[in-house]
Amino acid sequence: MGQAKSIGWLDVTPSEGTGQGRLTYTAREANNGRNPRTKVSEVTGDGGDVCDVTATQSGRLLYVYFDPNQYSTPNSGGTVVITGHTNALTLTFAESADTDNILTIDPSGFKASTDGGATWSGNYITNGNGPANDPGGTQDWMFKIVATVASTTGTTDSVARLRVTASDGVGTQATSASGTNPDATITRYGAEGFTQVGEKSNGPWSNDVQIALGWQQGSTNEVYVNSNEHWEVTIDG
Amino acid sequence: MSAVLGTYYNINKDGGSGGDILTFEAEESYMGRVARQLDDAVVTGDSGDECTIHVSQQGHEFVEFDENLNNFALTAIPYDETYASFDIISNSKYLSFVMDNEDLMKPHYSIGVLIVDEDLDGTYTDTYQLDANDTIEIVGDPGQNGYYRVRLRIDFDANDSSSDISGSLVVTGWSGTGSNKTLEVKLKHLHVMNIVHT
Repeated sequence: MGQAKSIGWLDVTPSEGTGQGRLTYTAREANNGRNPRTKVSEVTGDGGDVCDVTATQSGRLLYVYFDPNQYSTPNSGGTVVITGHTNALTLTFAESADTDNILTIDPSGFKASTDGGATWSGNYITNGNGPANDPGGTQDWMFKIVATVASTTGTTDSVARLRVTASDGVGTQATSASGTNPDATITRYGAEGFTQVGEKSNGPWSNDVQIALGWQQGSTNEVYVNSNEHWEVTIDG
Repeated sequence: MSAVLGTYYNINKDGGSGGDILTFEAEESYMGRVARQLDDAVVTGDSGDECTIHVSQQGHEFVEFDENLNNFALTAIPYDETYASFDIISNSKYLSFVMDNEDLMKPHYSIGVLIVDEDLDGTYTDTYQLDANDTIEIVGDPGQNGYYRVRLRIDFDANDSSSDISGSLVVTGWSGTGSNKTLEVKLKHLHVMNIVHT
């Protein structure tokens, strides 16, 4: 039994023989591109006969997924870089949930990488379009898109979701939001709760103030509450 | 949102979220001279932050007629009456009495028994006998955190002259703090009416 002979992504076993024999063709790598690919191997006899064998590997069904699909910021918000993989011709991004309006997607678009994220396209690719030369036809490529999360002084967490839809340009679409390829979730954590009081509307604030009421029934005075949470008032005694 | 009802003051709301304004309102008038400290209010946030609001009520000094006991700004005394009596309320530590028309009134009057109802229960104690134009110190200084009632009696000789005699008794309350309050009692002692012999 001879050793295998590698021709790119294709292995052929054995690499030589005598007389009758059987060649086994094995795809050593997955074809993440949408399109099938072929390799031609030659079987050459010592007598000069040459036989061509064409092996075709099917393309992968259109796919897209976020990786990772969970992102978060503190209450101060900030920038989130959202990445994923696809073999699409074009990508379209849209918010699927953002009740508290925390998310702003970079209107410039997204960028693409065909080397696993080592380098990125210089120019932005506008939403609804794809990188030049359709790398998804022949391979997996990465995308990244920047989102800005607004800050908050509230104590409640907020969640937004981003959906991506891939297209092959001839009518087939794939989208996140399926069970195994969910939308990207961006969580903005709430601020630490606090409550303070003061005698003036702009402070200074403390946890101890002194006020005086006039001697007459019905005289009033005010205390200002500075807080980002729910609070309650009681009178001792 | 409900109000918080306390013994001496109320607060307009019992809770909220975020920034807000709490309004404190005095439930009753305070008649003492020295400010009093009331119950603290406490604001507690869900995070556990606890804020204490110390509440006091200001005092004030006064000398006034006790309106419940039939006093008048102008007291007319019939010529043959021998005294005028009226009540005043005050929280001063000292009370002084000066008749401003003393030359006319004197020697026809004397400030008589001055008794004090400290507990406002109608029981008069602490009797003082005053000379004209006198000052008394209210024993125990009940006016620090409350007020007292004073019954003042002025004795007159009968006015058998042909004209009324008028004067003002000025009652001054003071407590050594630099300010004082005054109350003017206008007096008119009526003259003898002409008697028609039939």
